[in-house]
Amino acid sequence: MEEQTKKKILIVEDETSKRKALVDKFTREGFRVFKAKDGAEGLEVAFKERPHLILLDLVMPKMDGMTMFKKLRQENAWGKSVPVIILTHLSADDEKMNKEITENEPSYYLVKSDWTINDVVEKVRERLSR
Amino acid sequence: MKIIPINKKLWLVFFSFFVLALTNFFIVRYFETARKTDGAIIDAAGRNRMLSQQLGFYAERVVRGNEAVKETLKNIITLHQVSFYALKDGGVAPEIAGNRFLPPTIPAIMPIAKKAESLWLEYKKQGEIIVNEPAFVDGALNLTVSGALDFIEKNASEMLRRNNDLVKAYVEMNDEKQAQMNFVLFILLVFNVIVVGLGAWFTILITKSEESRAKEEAFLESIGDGLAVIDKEGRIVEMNKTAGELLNVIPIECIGKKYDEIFLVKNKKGEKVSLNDQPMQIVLTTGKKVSTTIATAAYYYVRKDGTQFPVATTVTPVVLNNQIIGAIDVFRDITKDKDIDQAKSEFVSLASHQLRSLPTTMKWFLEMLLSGEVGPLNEKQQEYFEEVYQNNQRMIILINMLLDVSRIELGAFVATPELTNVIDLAKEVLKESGLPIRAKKISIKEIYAPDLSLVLVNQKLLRIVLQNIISNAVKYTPADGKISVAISLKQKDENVGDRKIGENSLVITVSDTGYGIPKNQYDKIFTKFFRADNAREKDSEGTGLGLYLAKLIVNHIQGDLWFESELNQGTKFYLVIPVEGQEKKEKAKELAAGAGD
Repeated sequence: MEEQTKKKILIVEDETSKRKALVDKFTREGFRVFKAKDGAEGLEVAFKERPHLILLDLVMPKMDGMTMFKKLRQENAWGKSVPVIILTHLSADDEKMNKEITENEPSYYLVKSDWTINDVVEKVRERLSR
Repeated sequence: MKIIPINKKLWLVFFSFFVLALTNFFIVRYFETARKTDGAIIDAAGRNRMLSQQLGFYAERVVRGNEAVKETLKNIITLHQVSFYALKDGGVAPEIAGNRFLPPTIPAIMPIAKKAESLWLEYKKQGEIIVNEPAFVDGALNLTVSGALDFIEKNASEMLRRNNDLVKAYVEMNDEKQAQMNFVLFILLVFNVIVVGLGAWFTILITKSEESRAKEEAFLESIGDGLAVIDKEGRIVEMNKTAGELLNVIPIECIGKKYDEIFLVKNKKGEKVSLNDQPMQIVLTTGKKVSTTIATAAYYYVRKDGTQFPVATTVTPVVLNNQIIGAIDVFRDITKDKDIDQAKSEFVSLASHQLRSLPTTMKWFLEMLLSGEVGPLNEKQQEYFEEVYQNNQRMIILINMLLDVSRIELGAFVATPELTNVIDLAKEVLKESGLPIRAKKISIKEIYAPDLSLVLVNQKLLRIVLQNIISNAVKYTPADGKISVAISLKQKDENVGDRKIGENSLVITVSDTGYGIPKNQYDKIFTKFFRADNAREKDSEGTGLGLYLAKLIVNHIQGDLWFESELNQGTKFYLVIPVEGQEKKEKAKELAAGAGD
């Protein structure tokens, strides 16, 4: 029963170690966590589980984060509106990327090394509480 | 200067030599004649004298009754007559081989000639009396004849004297001519020296210019970049080998052709660039240098076979007497450079990702350990993990800075200016240093100009600069110190510190009451990995990249950054960023003078 009220989040991250950190943290913080190791798997899990929010890495094998993001937004109404927080190591000075993200609200852009893991949790909570 | 073809110049030299030689010939010949007449005059005068004497001698013998010499006397009179008038009136000197001409008497010596002539006529008349009249009449001496002889004998010396006077006058006349001749010959000599000297000088000049031209050509040929020179009509006047190789044409065949026949220019998108937008044309019409770099690569040159290559070109006007007389295009194929550039950018991007990823994961795990959420740590564990965490943080900072530096150095940073609230930015940056500020009880004074609106500047870059300057101020100010941050707008020509600013600018100053910078290290403070001795002493953990990066960025956005410092009193940093034309500058960078970045 409790499982049903928990917020569902999907973590798409190719690095095992980093994925583990996020999955563990969000689980402890009381989320129902789904994980995927690349864009293709992420897309599949997303449409199957329809999480409340997606945490998305950009640089990944098979399908990168940007491609998955675009496909998600194109697929259906749910895909268009689900909040996505992009986690990346790339700085946001890439004009093109910035534009694509801001054009497709609701989405955020976090540079991983600037944020503590608690900050990331905070950001997710804040977005979900809207 | 109008350029006369070289062979014409040489002809000029030859022609002037020829004219000179001819002039010399005629002048010398003219005076040579005068010298010859001198001899003829003296000769004629000698004959006159001799004939006068003979006339006297034979006249006496005739009068004495020697009828036989009457004919001789008659001949002598005739010869004397011819000789005298030759001397007076000029003409062929009698009985001289080569028939030297005597000059006619000039007016200056006419009185002397007349005097001689009048006596001669009398002399002649008396001589003729002796010839024509019989010496004896009725056995007695003919009185008319003896009177004539008397006259001749009495005037013989006078005749001689007048004759001499005439000769003397003639010789003087010739002497004068001789003096003139000396003078003229001297002038001629000087003139000769001048003409020959000038000619030689000219010839040397021509040879030299030929030589230097040959050298210049060799230089041009040896330039590794393509080089083409056009005149103000846009015709190619010079093109080196490399240019020919790059464009796949034969340079010599291109000379004289319009440059747009040879230089087919396309833009990044592969569209043909119209004549008026081509760099050469821009330079000819505006007179301003145009250059493109690897970063901009605004143009492609098309080869004869239709293939093309990206080009880095610098087109400079050729200015003579304030007029544009042409342009020089120095260009090179940057295909390889672009590949390298691409590889560099990819490397930086990859390095950004990979290098940052590992410490971030470590950071997150450490955070979870330190927060105690996976179970309590004992005191030592807590302490050691804190150490690991701090070191990891420093690694993150170092990596970020190194990446920022390399991105800026490689020109991979896009510094688009945007409307920025600089005061908010400064406040945010101050907040980031909140922890050490509170720990050291540093008082912060913020002085912001009230009229400050949004400023057009790249926010990200300005933030990095402010972060470095402010965090330095905090780091190198002892406890209970003061830091003040002031932001204002200054007009062109206003003074900032000890400098006058050239443009309307945003001025940010950060001053502290810190350790200061040692004077002997002023010039090194903005160099890569440099840390001042006292800074190293106070804080062993700095990267030595902060101020280098700040300066790099400030140069990138064409601002200025400098400081004033007093050891153990404090330091004041001045940051000046031109606010007008940040946008223009961005554009300018793509296509403008001195864009070497």
